[in-house]
Amino acid sequence: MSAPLSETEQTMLRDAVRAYLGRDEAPRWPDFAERLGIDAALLDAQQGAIIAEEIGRTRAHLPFADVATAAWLLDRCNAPALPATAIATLAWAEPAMRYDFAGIETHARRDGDGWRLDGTKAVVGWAAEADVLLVAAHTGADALSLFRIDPARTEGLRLSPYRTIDSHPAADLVFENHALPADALIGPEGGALDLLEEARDRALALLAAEAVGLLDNLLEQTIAYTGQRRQFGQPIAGFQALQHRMVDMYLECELARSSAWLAVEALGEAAPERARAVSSAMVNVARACRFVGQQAIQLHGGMGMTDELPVGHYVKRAMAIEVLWADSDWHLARIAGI
Amino acid sequence: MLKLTAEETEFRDAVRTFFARDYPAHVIARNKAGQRLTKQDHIDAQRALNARGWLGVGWPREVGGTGWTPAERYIFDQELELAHAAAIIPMAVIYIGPIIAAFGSDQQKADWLPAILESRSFWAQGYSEPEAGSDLASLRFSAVRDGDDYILNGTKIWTSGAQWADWIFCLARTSREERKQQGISLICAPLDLPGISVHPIRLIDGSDELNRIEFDNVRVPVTNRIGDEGQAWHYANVLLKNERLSYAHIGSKKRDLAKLLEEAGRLPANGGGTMDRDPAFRLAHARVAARLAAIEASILRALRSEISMATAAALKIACTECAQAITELGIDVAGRNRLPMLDRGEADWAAAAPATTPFGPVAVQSYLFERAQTIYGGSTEVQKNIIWRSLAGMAR
Repeated sequence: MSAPLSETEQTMLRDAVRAYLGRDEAPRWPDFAERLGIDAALLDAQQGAIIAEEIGRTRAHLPFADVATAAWLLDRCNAPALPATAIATLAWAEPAMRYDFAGIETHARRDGDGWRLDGTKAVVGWAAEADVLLVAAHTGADALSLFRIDPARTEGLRLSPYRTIDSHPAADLVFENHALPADALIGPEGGALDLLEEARDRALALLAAEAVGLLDNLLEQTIAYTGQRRQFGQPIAGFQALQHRMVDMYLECELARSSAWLAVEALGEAAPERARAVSSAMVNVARACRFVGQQAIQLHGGMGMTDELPVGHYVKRAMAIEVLWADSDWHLARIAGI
Repeated sequence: MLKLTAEETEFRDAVRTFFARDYPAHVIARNKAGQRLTKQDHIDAQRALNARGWLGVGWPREVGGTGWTPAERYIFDQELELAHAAAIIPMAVIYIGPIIAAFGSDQQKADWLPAILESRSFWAQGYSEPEAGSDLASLRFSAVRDGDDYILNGTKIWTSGAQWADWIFCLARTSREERKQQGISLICAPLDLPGISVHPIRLIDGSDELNRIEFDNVRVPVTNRIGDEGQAWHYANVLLKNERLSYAHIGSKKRDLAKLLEEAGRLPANGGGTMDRDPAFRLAHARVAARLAAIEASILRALRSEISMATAAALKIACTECAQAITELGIDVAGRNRLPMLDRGEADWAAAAPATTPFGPVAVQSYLFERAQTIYGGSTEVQKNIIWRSLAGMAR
């Protein structure tokens, strides 16, 4: 892990990302990774959180959290690192499970020197765009392992790409007797569960940071809109009922910001403390995503229902953040130890 | 008082049998599969209702209406929704039909009402404008008299189904001298007239059934005006009174809650088993069901008595928020299945995401679409102002 950034360095990083994302053209991953030199930020959650917050603020379609999660897993498994410009994504979720990794049914069996993989993965972000897929699979009872897969080898791999509600690319994957070379296995055979848990907490901390930028922007859009929208002879922001609602949104934004800090700082703790802090953070982030999103649409009135204003797109990204890696009930159960 | 009478129970059974036996099964199948209905589906559905004499709900018998009591109408609505039948497109049948019947000329009744009942003509509603939403009295759409014609100019927005409609009824300002609510007339226009352009609006749920309609010097005969000049506000309010419980949709809420349990039985839970056994989900489900029971009792109470503006406004809030709470439960139980954004136009739409249950995309699109319930028909905030005006009287 790199040394913590000074305040000046943090500001410089934030400004650089903001300037890049503020350009007119849509950002593209290899260019973003190369121009901003984000190699270190992929492995450092403090830097990652700064980048993720700016991505949230601009709702940029970039696989930053996916690439960072994969990079961290490769690093921890002592596998060769990828260039930062490559897109890598982790395929874990499946149709027959909810959020517990123990529910993974995809399995790999030895076949000569290599492996054969069978199973289905659901809603894998950036899978069709990825240069590398990391796939979580059983290699025995209660033994989860990680495999590094080249999606260009399509024999025994069916990939159905689509867009998710937040307009990000994703795909469902079906592996049928998919052949893997011996070196596809990364990390300890059967020892991936703890790695996956920690990778999820790191991904969640980045999502929390992204939510901060996203929700701030939703509040700003709502304040601006209600200041300009006139009904009953005045800007609707003049009505106290609506002012108080926006104050409630602000409160949720502030708690989400603190929660993101809590999650990022907890990543260095031992597993139980880390889990409790990250889940506490995410319960609050999910609540903020829900409340701020709903109120942003309500206060935009009919215009909030249209695809032409940004507000709906921000709300839909917030709805994805609520469930990408786990939902509120899963977090609450983890905090309560049930 | 909250129970149905023997006659009402008999009527309910007759309606239930009708939807099971004499109603187009393909419409119910598509609705159940979460597929979007086509115009032809709606025509098939409405023709089946009309064949039984049950399309003109809220219309008097003399013009082919059902002449139902409020309780009968409520029972019918509930059975229709429980059967997964197509909602009656309200613009012609529910909104303008009864206004034509009550205030239209004999010629208008003869020209327009049979065409609506026979599904030969569909209508769109021209009420909201970009600058007149919940504050409907501030509308600008103008109708200027020119001999025996009106010249219409302005923009109408949020008109649903305009791409299917043949006619539109518009609130139009015919005078600027009186109070804001006065000087508004109800004027109808065929949508294929020169000067009218329809622009679909894409919504956050991926649908594009709402539209913005521009009128640029559109000429219609004065005989297209319903009732007297400047009286549209009065007509709208008379009708609003009859439509006060139109937001109830108790049947669809019951249907959707039942559907949630059924879908939960197919969704995996953490630690094995299915979501219908998940205590957190079951408690959340029970909480909404308990709320719905109170709302249903409120609607039944309201059906049996005169209700005030304040009660109607309170029920609008309770009903629409409950509907939203059900969709919220839907995206919660769907979990990651809420993520794919799929186009539900075709029968095989769900094949695009083969590892995801089709319930997820349906749930998320309902959640997004139903956000509008607390915005349209007078936003929740405006309803609260109405309620407060009556509460403030108590303090005096």
